Amino acid sequence: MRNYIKGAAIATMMVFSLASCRKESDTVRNFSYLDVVTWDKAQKSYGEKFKILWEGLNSNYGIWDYEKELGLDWDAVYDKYYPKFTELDTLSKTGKVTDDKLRELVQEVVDPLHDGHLFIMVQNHMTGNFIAVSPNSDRNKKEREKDYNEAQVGGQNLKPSLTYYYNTPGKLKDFKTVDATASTQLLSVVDSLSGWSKRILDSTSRKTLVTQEELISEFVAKTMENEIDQVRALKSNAQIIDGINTLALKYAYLNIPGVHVLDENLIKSGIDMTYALFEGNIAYLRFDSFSITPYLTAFVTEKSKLQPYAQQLSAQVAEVWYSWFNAIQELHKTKQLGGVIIDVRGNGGGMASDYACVLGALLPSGGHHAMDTRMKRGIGRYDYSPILPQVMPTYEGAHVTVTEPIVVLTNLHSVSMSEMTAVGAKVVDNAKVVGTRTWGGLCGLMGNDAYSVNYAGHIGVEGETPVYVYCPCEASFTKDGQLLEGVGVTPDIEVHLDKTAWNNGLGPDSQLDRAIQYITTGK
Amino acid sequence: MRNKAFLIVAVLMMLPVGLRAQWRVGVIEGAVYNIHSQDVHYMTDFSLNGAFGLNSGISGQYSFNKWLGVRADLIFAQKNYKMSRTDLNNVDYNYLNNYLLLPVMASFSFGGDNFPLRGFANLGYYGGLWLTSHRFGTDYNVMSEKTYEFAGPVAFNQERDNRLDMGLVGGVGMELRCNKHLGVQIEARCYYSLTSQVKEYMKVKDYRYDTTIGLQAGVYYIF
Repeated sequence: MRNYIKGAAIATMMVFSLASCRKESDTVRNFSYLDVVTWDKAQKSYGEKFKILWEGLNSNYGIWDYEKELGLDWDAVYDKYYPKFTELDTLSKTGKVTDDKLRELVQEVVDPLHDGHLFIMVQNHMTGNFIAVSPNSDRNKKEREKDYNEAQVGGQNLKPSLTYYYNTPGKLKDFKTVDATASTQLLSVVDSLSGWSKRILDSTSRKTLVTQEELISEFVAKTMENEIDQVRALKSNAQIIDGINTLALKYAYLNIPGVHVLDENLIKSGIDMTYALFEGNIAYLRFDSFSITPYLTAFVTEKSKLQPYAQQLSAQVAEVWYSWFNAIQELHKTKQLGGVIIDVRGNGGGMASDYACVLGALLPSGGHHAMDTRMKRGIGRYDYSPILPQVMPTYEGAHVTVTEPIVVLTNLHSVSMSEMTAVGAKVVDNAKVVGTRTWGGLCGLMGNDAYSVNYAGHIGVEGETPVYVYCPCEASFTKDGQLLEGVGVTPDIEVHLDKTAWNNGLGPDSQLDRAIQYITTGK
Repeated sequence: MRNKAFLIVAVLMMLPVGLRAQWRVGVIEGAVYNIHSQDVHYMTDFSLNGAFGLNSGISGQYSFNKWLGVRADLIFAQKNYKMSRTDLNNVDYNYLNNYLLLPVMASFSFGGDNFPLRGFANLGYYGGLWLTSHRFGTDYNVMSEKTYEFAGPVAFNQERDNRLDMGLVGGVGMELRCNKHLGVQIEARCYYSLTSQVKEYMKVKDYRYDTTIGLQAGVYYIF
């Protein structure tokens, strides 16, 4: 009996000793913010930069299952490229690691990824420069060269123009346009400051004798010129806005016309928008970014809080949008509306709330189930939420539901919200997508500040951390379950832009003409 | 380690068989409470909470003598858990995971010879199969700024999900011997998984384990 008890006791001990056999998980860091410990090693090591890029994407990227289906083995990428980045560390001790060399390696690592928004910046600590890589841009340039070039002019996104239609009698019944792009807003202040300093310097240089007051002005003007040059050398829009606002405050006492503190909300994206009413009562709206909401909100609800310049700006944007919206309301009610064209060619996307001001303004209130979505929910590559409806906002004020034909005009540089609008149009019975296949970046993003809502998205801080990744936090699917990352939205009616005829905007626009043809003929 | 433990059980089984050696079979019903262990890493407001589930099955035991037997059960058990966000109201996940478990245990019985009530303790290993997984709850879609309810099966990901479940099992309980052939048991049991619910499918190791405690009642026919 004693032996049995002994045996049982030993067995019990053996069994419980196994309780410690659970393995410990690795420590996974959150790379979304500035933190000395998190980023310290990566400041001076290419190998550590790679590890952050790899690990950050491993936890944050939202479509690993899609990449797996397309044949990517992310672990194999680590095995292959970590040694190559550590080789750069060795090389950096004896020679220089050039930006091109670093870019080439980063490109090799991320180019197989299909997310259309993905944008990577890695700092080369040998040169101090940031190299930038956009996998989908590389893919589109390579695989869709014709479409890519068709949608560009002089290295910039092609800007659809109505000059030909405006100048041709009988084409347009109404036309309104506004340029409130960030660059225009920034330039207007910089030019005002610069103009003032030049005038002062010109006037003092022509004089042999200057007063003490003029000497002070000359000193101020020279200082200002230097400061303007410093602001011009800044790289990110956020830094430029900060720089300009600092100058505007500093020199406010001079009361220089056109110099004012910029409204961050209104300048973040800026907007360039055109409304036209074509013969046949076709209401046309073109805009270069989905940033209508801040202007309309400012115009409608915050007018009294705004500075005079911002009041004027929001009023100009609101006037163009309301002209389009009101034309649709009136013409539909009198049964004269021919159709609606939403031109998102060259539109890089923007705010989801803008859906309500564009396609959502033509649909019934209560939201539009345009797509489905899936959130990242955990650090594991395949930790996702269930597929949830992606109900886009619709216009909630009193408005008509457009039953006339709707066309969304797209090209390769229709990105993100432009593509959401195109996908939305595909599930609206009276809407068609006309043009060429879009960019292929529909997964949504939030700002760094909202990282912890999904614990997914951006890696690092742009221009500040040694690695920065502009990374979506969710996956967007069409209602029939397709993920269009790296592919884009295929138009219902494919038509290319005849660039010869278009003649830099002076001639007819073959894509727009095809849209008008569909609306007027139904074919 | 596992092989050694099996060896010990085998040795115990080969001990001299007493005169009272006998078979018994029975059915088990009960409830379990599962605690899911997972490193939340930097997701500091992820809150993992245990959840109740069902537990039922059949049981067989061969007793070598009055105090030692070997017992095997075939159990359907649920290893459920909840995931919510302490700082975000609208994220609430309830996972229902159905398992088929096969615990094989040494069963030690003790108590007075003349009492109908005897105590027992079971200790051993279990192997199991993760049969199905479902989840229901609510999640918040930041893009459309809406909360959605969801409910449905979770498809297994062959690369990630480890459907083979193994670990330790132990329990203590009491048996009321109603007559020569009928015994009623009540047992508190614990399944302690040693295999992670996720495979080592990525370089970054992220292990997830379950500890399932339960209270079950069993009715046995003793041959």
